[in-house]
Amino acid sequence: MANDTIKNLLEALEVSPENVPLRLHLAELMLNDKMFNEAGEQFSDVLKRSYGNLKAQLGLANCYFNTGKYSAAIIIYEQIGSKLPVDDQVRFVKCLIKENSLQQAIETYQKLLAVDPLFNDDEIDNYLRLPSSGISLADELTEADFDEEAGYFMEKPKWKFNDVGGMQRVKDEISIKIIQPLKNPDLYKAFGKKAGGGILLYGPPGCGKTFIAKATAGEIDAKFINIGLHDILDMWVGNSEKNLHEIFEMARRNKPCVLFFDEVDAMGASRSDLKQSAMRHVINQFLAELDGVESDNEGVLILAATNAPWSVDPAFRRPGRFDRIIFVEPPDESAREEIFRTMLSGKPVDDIDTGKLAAAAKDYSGADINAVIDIGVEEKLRESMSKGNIQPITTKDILKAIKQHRPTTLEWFTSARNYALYANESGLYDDILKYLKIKK
Amino acid sequence: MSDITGFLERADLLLNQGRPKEAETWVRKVLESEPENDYALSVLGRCFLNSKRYDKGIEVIKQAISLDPEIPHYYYLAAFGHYQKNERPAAIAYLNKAIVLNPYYAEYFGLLAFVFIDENDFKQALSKSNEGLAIDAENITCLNARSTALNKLRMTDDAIATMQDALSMDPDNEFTHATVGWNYLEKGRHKDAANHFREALRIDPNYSNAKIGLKEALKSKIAPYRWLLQYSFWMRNKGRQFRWAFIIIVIAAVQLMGYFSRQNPEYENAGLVVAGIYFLFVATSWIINPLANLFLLMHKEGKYALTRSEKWNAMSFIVCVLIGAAAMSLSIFIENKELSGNYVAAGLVILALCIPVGHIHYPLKFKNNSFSQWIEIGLIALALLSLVITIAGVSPMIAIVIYFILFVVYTWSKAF
Repeated sequence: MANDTIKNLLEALEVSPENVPLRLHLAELMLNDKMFNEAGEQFSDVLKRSYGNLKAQLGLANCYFNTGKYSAAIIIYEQIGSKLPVDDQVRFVKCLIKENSLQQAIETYQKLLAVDPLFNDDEIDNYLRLPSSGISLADELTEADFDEEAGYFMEKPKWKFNDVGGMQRVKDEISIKIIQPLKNPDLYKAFGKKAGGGILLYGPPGCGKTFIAKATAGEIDAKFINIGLHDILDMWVGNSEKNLHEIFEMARRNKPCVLFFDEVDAMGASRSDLKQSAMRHVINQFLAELDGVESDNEGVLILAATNAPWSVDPAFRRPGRFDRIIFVEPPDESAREEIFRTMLSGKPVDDIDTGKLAAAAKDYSGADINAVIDIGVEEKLRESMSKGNIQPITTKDILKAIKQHRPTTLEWFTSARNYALYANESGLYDDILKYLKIKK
Repeated sequence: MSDITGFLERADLLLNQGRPKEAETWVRKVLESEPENDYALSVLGRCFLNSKRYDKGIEVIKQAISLDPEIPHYYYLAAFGHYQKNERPAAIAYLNKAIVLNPYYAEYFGLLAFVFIDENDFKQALSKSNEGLAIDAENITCLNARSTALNKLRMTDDAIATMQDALSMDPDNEFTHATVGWNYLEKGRHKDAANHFREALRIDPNYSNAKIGLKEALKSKIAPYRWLLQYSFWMRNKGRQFRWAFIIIVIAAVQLMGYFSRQNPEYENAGLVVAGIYFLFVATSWIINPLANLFLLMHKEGKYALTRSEKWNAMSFIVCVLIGAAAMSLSIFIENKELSGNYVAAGLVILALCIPVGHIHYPLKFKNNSFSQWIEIGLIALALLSLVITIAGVSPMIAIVIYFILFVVYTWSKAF
């Protein structure tokens, strides 16, 4: 029946190809009939004739979603922004999960739950909710003390070190400090080496600090709690010490657990800020939690990351706290090649020379490469929409995108170089000097 | 806590942590719902000022002032923006308004004192910093302004005492260390100055004022550079009119001396000595900077303080000197007199090129250049052409004549 209707509509459209409502109706019928590729072509056609048509945009994104072209769908969903209906928001979150943009997925999901607190989707929940605490975010949202416990997302990352390209030195350090003590407790005991303490990862933004932290959790099959800048800021301006204690308690209840503090420098602040007593309390509380004064931190592994290690309170670096400080440098050429290969997989490409791309993308971080590919994809999407069929991405397209996007690591290295040259007390920034090939 | 208060507190916190761009995101959220919140506008203005976007900062702060003209701090922020842009009359006007509204806040007097220092009005600067210190004897800005003003007024003992006060009050203040560094540099104590600049950079490695100071202190190890630096400090402390009068008098005196010695042959030697000293002074002032950069390039600490352009200046300077000297030396071994003369002339051209290439801002641009930048490019092209056609055995004289005409235009374009 539906097939007959589709056939009739196709014939009708041959007579009047400009009839946008008719074409839209046809596309929707095709979509309902799971003819995703054909529906996508019709939606693209509608968009050529009626630019910005919301229904066509949503339909096209839906087709991309169903054919596994998640990044293309994400671009459309991002363009539509706040006008997304709930169903499409769900698809958007799923696309983000598929593309490993978990932070954005969490934020989008939180917005969705704010609109519909009782919403539930098993697939998303498996990734983003707190299965072990037995508390669902929707339940929490209806309570007054939302921030107190389940406001922090817990996940169980599936990535392992093998999924992280390059970064061998970082992996080795984490392995010795965190993974091996858990795997070989007797050996460590025999040498009198105490397991525990934290690791502080520092380096330019977008170079995989968060990713390696998650992979650490995946490697030891532990849960992962990510405390971001906004959570830290809330500690300053809200009910801070209690919040901080709750986070550590939650991690202790869910052992083994990797507790990851992103942008931890926001907690250290500068010395002048420390004059304010409220801030001192939070730092003291954090140090007490790290030291495990009142509770046992065994099984709780603490990782922190910062783009500004120079702003981290020196007290954090004392033995037993963040006593390993590891520089996470931008990916080298082979790692960049690997990143290009991974990020372009699943996308329509035409004989891409990843070696050439990696060489052209010197100093680019993983996030920069992602941005470059996004630029290339957007360009190709436009071209595909105007030509009415999928145009594959070529090496030239990505090289063009590289020229449009400057590496964000350069600004970081300008600052880092100054700190390494003038404030390198106790050799803290020797790794930066080594990376920049500066001999002092 | 309301969202608005929370967002503003976050923005404040991020600003204090030196993250103006992240602070901007939060304050913009407040302004989306309350576009006429004057405090939020002032915080946004601080975000702009802290990220060196002074024009935007001033504009936004003026909006805050128009919404609530009774808040002295807004005038202070506007004054700070104008001060950073070297718009001193406007900075003074805003600071005076801030002081009228709140005459008991030392920081306003401190900034005002610094504005007067830049105006070369050191007595006013001293008076304003003293007024600020009468309100708060430990105000670091006022103490720094006072020590700088005293130094400029040659009241060295008082200046040193004030510097020590400022340092004992807050030994970890990069601003104080940099101020002390500049004061020492002005006194010719370049080693002490370098130590304070190093300390300022240890506290804040991105503090460009201290970085520039350290570079100057290291270059001051070269005696002629030190003398010229002292001379430039001395000239800078004088008024604009004095500076012009001084230059005109020196040029006129040299011309007169030349005329006098030509008229009176018994004073010919004296005339030559004066002309020689004058030429040496002018030539040194032209080449000392790239020469000092070259010195820093070989200095274990200095090489990292140089910018990429300064490194290029130093390297292209020495390359010109070496090629020029080589061309002139080669002429000795060439028997053909005309060809030998060509090599001497081409060598001189390349030697003279060391002046423009020692001052060019690298990398060279070939779009939207100013007049003097095009002349610099022209000089390089002509010098290379002269050398190439000399090597090819052709007379380079036409290119050389054009080169030196352009060279004179270049020196005058730099003088104004």
